[in-house]
Amino acid sequence: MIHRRFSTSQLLSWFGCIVLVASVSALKVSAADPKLEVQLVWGTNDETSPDAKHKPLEEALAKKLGMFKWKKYFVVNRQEIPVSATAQKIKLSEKCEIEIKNIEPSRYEINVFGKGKHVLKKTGKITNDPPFVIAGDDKNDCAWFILIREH
Amino acid sequence: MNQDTELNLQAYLDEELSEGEARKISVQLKNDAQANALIEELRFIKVGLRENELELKLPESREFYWSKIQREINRDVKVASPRATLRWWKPGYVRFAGVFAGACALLMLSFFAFDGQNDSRAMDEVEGTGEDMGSITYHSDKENMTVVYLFDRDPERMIDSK
Repeated sequence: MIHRRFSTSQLLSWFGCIVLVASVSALKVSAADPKLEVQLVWGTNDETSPDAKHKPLEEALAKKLGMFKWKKYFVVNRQEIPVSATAQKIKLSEKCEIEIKNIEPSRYEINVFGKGKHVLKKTGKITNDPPFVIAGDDKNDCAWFILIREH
Repeated sequence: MNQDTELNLQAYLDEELSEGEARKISVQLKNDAQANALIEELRFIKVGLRENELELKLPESREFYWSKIQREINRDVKVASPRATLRWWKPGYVRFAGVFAGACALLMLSFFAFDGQNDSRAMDEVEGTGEDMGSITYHSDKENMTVVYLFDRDPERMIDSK
């Protein structure tokens, strides 16, 4: 039987290679973690928002929402979050929360909660443009929108 | 002039009669002053309706407007229809149960034969709302954008986002 012996330098070279491959893989995984932009938007026919902190929604997105009857859209909350395979809960307002999980590249599972109660589960593709939109009626003939897009 | 003749005159005006029937009415119109007066009146109304109907401009996109109407229809249907009692022993239901069992068997077979994890579209259909909520998913071709619009089944109780 032939026994092959590795020298210390050979062993170190192999170890280095393994560490390098592992680092590159880890880097690749972390680079693959997508970032999502989530915005809670309020649609109204009033010219201004009662809350001065609310900024008007960027023009391109407001134009996309032109299919709805509301004239003005204000950003109530905007967050950029890295999303992983572990579900992550994001508080958009006192009463509105969403939970996002990355299933596979560009595919996400989204759960929406209103006043702590689960109201929607949706799984699908989210890209940078157009955004994925979840909406609903609000009081005083207004509406809320959750706009999600890859960042 | 009886009601049938009146209806035939209306159908003649709308070009809904066969060639033979239309010919008969043409002959009648040459000799019957009353029929002539009626068809003139009907023609006047038809033109008036076509040219003077007010055009209504929708405040939102066509798809969204109709989806709201569909939502109201669905809600009314649910309210109007009394809860049916399932009499599973009736022959119709037994047949249905057979079909259902067959479908379940096929589903189970396909589940064991096919690994759904490799199919990227397998999750597309998973969607659910809470008991109190309904949703309409629609796609705007113009913006190439999908919108899931949530609504409370009880209109008195809405989600307050703020």
